[in-house]
Amino acid sequence: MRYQTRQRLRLAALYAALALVTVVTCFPLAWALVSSVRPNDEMLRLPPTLVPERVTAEHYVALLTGRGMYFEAAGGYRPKTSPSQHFLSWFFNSVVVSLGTTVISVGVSTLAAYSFTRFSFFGQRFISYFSLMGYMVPSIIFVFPLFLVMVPLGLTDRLPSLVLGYISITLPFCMWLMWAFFRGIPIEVEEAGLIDGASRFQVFWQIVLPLALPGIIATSIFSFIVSWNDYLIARIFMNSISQLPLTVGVMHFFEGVHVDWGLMMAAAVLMTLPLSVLFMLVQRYLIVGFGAGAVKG
Amino acid sequence: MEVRLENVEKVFGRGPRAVHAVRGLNLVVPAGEFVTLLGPSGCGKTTTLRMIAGLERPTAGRICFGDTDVTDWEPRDRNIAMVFQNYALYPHMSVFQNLAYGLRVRGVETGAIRQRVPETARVLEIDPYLDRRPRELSGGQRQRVALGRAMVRDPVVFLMDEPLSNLDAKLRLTTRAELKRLHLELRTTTVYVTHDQLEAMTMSDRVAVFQEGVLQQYDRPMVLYERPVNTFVAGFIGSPPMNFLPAVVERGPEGPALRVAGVTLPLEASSRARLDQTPERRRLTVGIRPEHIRFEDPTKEHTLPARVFVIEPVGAESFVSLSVDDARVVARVNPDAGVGADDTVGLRLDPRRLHLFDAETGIAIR
Amino acid sequence: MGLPAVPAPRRGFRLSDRQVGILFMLPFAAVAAAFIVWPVAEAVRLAFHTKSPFSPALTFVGLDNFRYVLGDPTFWAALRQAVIWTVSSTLLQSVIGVGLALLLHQAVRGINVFRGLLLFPYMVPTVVIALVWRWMFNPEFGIVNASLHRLGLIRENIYWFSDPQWAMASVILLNVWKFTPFVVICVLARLQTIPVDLYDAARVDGASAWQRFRDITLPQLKTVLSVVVVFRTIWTFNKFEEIYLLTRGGPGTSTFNLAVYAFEQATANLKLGAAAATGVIMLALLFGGSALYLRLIGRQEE
Repeated sequence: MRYQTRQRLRLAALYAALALVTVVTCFPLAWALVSSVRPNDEMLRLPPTLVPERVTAEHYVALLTGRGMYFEAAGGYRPKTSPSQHFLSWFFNSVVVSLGTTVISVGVSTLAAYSFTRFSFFGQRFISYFSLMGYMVPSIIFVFPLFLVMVPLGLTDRLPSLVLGYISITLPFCMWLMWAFFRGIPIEVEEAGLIDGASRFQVFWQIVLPLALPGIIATSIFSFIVSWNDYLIARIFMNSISQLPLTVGVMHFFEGVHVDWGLMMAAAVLMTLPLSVLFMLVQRYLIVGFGAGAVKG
Repeated sequence: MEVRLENVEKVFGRGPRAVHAVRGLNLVVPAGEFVTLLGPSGCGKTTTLRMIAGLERPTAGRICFGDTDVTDWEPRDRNIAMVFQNYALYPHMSVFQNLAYGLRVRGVETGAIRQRVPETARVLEIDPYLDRRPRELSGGQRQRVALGRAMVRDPVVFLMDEPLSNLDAKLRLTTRAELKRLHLELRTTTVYVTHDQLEAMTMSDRVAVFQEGVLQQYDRPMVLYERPVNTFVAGFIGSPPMNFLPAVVERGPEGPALRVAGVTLPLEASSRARLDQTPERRRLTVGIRPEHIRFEDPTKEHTLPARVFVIEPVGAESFVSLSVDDARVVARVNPDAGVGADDTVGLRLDPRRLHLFDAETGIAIR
Repeated sequence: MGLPAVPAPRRGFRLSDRQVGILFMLPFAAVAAAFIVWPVAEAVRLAFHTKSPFSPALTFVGLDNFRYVLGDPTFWAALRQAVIWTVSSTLLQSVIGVGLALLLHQAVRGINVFRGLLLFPYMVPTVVIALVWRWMFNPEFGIVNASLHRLGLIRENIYWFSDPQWAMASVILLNVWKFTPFVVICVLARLQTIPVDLYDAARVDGASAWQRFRDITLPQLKTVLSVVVVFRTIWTFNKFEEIYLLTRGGPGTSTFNLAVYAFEQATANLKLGAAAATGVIMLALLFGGSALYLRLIGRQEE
């Protein structure tokens, strides 16, 4: 076979394989999107079709306005309120809690990471090993002791408990990321500031922080995403249906015998949307971080 | 403002792996002078500069500015300015803000800042760039901004850490001359660190040569050139470097003489006086600079037999590498010296320009 | 211009560098101690106590919790299933991951778009993907069964969630979908640091594509792969949400792993002590895995 033809075939095969990969990666969410705009009768039709015949926004409207749905559960228990009514509260809860945790984790990590990279003192390696361990320990181990603490504090079933609880899962990675970012800022710029007459605080505030801003933003977005995605901690800490964040709330759609798939897919899409936006902003940094041999996850 | 270092030591680390960066340093930088700290990398010159700046604390000894002991003072209190090798400009601030920062932080009022910054910028010809960020500037322009940041504060001491090493060769030449001119006008005490002996020679009032943390010699450039105190300083100053040949003391009818490569070299009066007490057959190292070697007919008396290894024409002159016994010697000659590779020539060493060093310690014999 | 004088040092409250450093560390140390160190220590302590659901009191019971857990056949089933789930997932992720990385390494144009796209599954909330999976793998209405029918690969519906075997398969598939991209990114990064000259030299020497892969690519990938595999193993073994949200550990207990087991002990049986004991066992296994990782790193550096 001629070289040209062989090259072209190779390239074609390559791009075909890549297309396949893209399809497999994107399919689940694309399918959720497609399903979320189909009316219920079309969804439950056999055999299922790829392209919808009719497109409707009824599921989204239901979620955003809190329309009731028919909802039956085993054991004769009929709920008084339907879950879709609470979707907006869940959304609001997720935003508030994720922001709260992010502020705390990133704030604390930034200060500590700066201290780590600029000063050396006793106990530094100790603390860094702890960070690594904290990152590897699964949250099922943190959850129950923290819950037992929340009880006497009277925080159970209230949002601040989630803000505190999520710190366990965001803090280690925030620290590790900020540490990497600070290591990339040359120390001479700070020395120049010191010689120019600034105090340590002034150097940190006026020179280092502006330079670390991209890193802080990336870390904040990551922390936000991790908080947004958590299920276990919220499941244990929270009870009342209106206090749940999105993750636990949406699982409530699943409690019954009849499941409203359209509603669920719409909820899935809405839940992923803000994440997708944030993710697009930060993915560059994460790839660099993962690729640079810091194999975590 | 005079800068004085008394018995300054700096040790990094502890125990058997400790590094003695600076040992027993006593140095006085007279007020208003330009002093260069010169030496190969790792010799302690940068550490010394940083101690003067206050970025490092000496392990022992004192540092004084004038009559004031500043050893324990923070950098910001010493009223010094520093130009870093990589400029260390604040990337997120404009040129104007970079220059203004030191003034702002010291509480100088906005009106005065708005006057002084453009003035300094004009002197350095960077006033068109006041609104730009460092990343938009060329290397040479950034260097001027770094210089301007130091100048605008009117400090008592300028500290410079190899500021020219990141510039291309041509820019280096012009900037060197400008720095010297600037010093002549401002007369601020300046301490300059470099490994380039040419910079040291051309710009300084005095040069301090360091080796492995120890100060070797501290004097005016020409003194270092003409009367180096040991083979290290002799070999470091001057380019191409001084040639060294093994020699043995001989006692002849006219007094002491040297035998080099099987040839007896006559000495002139002062050298003979220096070797008066030296026993026969004592081994020395003799040093001769490339510019003090002449080519002669090899059959002539008192010439060293040498074989031409390679000729490097530079334009105004030629550098000729020759082999004398096992040693390699470089001579600077006119381009029309008329020698070719593998020729045998006789080397005449100017007896007034012979440097005598002890063969073991390398110390000059006085 | 006369020579300016050196001003005296400023009076007043000023922190030394060292003090500032410690001050900046304190909030982190406090928060880390409270929310990371203490809960882990407390979880270990809980393993040796029982707690009645009706009072906050804890009663010391020594090793009873461990005896209970280690004597529970469900625990051992969960452990066995956890191993199956971890080994299958990690194997699939590694093989597919390396394959994809090799593929992407060839593609010249648009590669950054792909890379960004690839990390997306990693970011998606597990809840979302679990729900979508349930919809896609729904036996009657899901697109998966429908497609398999259409392609002629099956004749009757696969009961993805009510058949123990298929439930395990669906959970493994979800894990592979979510985390293979992560393997791809790491391997790809390593691939891109292999100097092209090596391949050129091999081609001149006459090596075929397979030989080049075996003798140049694979040895270079060995270290990154070993690290990735160890990490993925540790992480997969302890995963809770991926399994629980999809199958609740079911049908029955057939997709339990240790994390799900602990969860059920705490929430269904209200045996907090047993859950904590399981947690301690998980920690022990985690430390073992980390020790292995450190030893691998040590060997790599020689």
